Amino acid sequence: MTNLFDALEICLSEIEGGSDLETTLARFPEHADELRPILKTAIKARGMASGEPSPDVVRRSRARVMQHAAELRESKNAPRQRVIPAFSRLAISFAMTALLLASSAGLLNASASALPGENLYPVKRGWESVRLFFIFDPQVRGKMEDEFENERLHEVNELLAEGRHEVIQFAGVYMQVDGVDYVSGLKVILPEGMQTPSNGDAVVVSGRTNAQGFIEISSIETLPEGSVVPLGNPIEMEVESDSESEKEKAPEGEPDSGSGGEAGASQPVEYELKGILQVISEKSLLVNGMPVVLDQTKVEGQLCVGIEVEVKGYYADNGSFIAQEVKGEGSCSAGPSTGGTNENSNSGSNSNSGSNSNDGGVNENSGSSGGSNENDSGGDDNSNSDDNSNDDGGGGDDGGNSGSGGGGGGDDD
Amino acid sequence: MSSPSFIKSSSRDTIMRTGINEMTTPKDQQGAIRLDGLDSQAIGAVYDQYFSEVYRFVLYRVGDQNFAEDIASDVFIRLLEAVKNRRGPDSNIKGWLIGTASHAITDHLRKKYRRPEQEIPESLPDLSPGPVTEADQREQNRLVRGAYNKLTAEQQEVLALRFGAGHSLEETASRMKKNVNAIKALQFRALSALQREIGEVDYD
Repeated sequence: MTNLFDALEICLSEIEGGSDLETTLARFPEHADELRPILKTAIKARGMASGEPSPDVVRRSRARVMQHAAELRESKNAPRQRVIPAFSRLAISFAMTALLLASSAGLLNASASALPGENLYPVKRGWESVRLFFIFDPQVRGKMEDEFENERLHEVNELLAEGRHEVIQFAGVYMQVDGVDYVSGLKVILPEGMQTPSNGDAVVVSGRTNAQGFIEISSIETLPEGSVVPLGNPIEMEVESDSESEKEKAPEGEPDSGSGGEAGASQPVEYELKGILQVISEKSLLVNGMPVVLDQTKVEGQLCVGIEVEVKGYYADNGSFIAQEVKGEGSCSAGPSTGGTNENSNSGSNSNSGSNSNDGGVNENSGSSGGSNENDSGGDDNSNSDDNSNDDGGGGDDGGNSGSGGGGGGDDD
Repeated sequence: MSSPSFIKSSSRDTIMRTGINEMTTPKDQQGAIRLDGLDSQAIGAVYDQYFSEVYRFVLYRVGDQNFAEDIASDVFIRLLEAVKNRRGPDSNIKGWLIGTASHAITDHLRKKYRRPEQEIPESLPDLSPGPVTEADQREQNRLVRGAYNKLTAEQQEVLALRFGAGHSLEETASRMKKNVNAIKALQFRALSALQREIGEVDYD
């Protein structure tokens, strides 16, 4: 007796071979009743099958497959042809990158003056990262990083000047003077109970600017000794004396004793501002983001954008800063930003030494300002910061001192 | 200590044995060798050899000529890609093609279920006795199609291989990685189920 499943298989084969359903079933009388409906269904199921695909279908599909094969052949052969100019491929990708950078230059220009909280600010920071990414020379890289750190400080200055509330982070030198905390010359407010760094520590602070011209610190992190941070030029320091004592302290003689005297008469407090000259116009200057009004101002040395200048003047009743004397330090040909950077790091390290005799420092600068910038090389920076010698208020250490000299002035208060 | 390695080697043997069990034909092997360079003549030959079978198998399963054409063509394109990436079949091109087609169909059906198209009408005119005209045949096919779609994937597969691709019992067994007796039983159950489905529709 044949298995039911085998019987079905045999019947299927026979029917496919052209046999009649009933003839086939007659071979398996014992299964006939059961197999009949199933075989009828099988015939229907077989009827659902199509014949050969139509010539149209075959032609279309064949063309598709053959075309794909041709494409694959090409792409397979292509690398072999490209093996030789592998170098040129590199060149092409560089060219593409350059093109990309060039095309986005407009955006970058626009972002150059962006401040934290503005739409273009991420573009600015992103671009800085890109620039750093492509610099491999550690020295150049260091300079550029200094430049960017300075830019951070500058942004904070701008924000404070505009009285905006923005979250910021920057590096600088911590100082405490008469119970007031400063980071790179900017007034900061430390939260209650926070451990304060010691004077002259390089720190990274996070916080937010407020409309009162302070930075509310949320966190402060002390950097390892020897870290180069922008001192923030600074800045403006109250010389806590009237013009007479100022003159006494300046034995080298303020060349402009006349105007100084006038200032003394009208304005008891004279300020010194030292920083990078950013904008020159007929009636005013922009130094470290601060507008300086020129009014019968005595100008010494060459003035051009990017150099460091020393400004002496006073605040007028309307709050604007009137310059009495502007002194350009360094030559205009010197790379503006680089010079500025070095200058800063120098002054930063000097401020570590705490209070150099400030008047000495200031005067020293005014005396020997011309050549001093040239001496600022990276090497100098290092030695300075390592030494921290208080003695360098002397001539040796050039204009960089002036910043700290100013800072020292604060100390004296 | 030694037992793990022992097990490992024996399982490797099993794998090798199943590999050998795969049906191979000299023709297939030749095709594979010539396909390697994506030579258009070799590809044309393979295509002409197997397209009809793949197409009929796919059409049987999906029941739509346009989809069948697309899927069958895709299967050959996948073969080209596989050969290019050196993942093509070492032997038994036909088995590879049908297997790939089966996967492609599953993908297609999954997509189709997610976005269902028009259903095959449930109530259809009764089968009238007498000579089977072309219209009747088409009507009957729709009926069978509706029932067929309700079968399990395995039942659909076995019928598509036997009736669609015209595979022999042995080929079907090899394709579905089952022995011949299991296929016999499977096709019996598939046809029984189909008959029940058609019957139900008939009496509705």
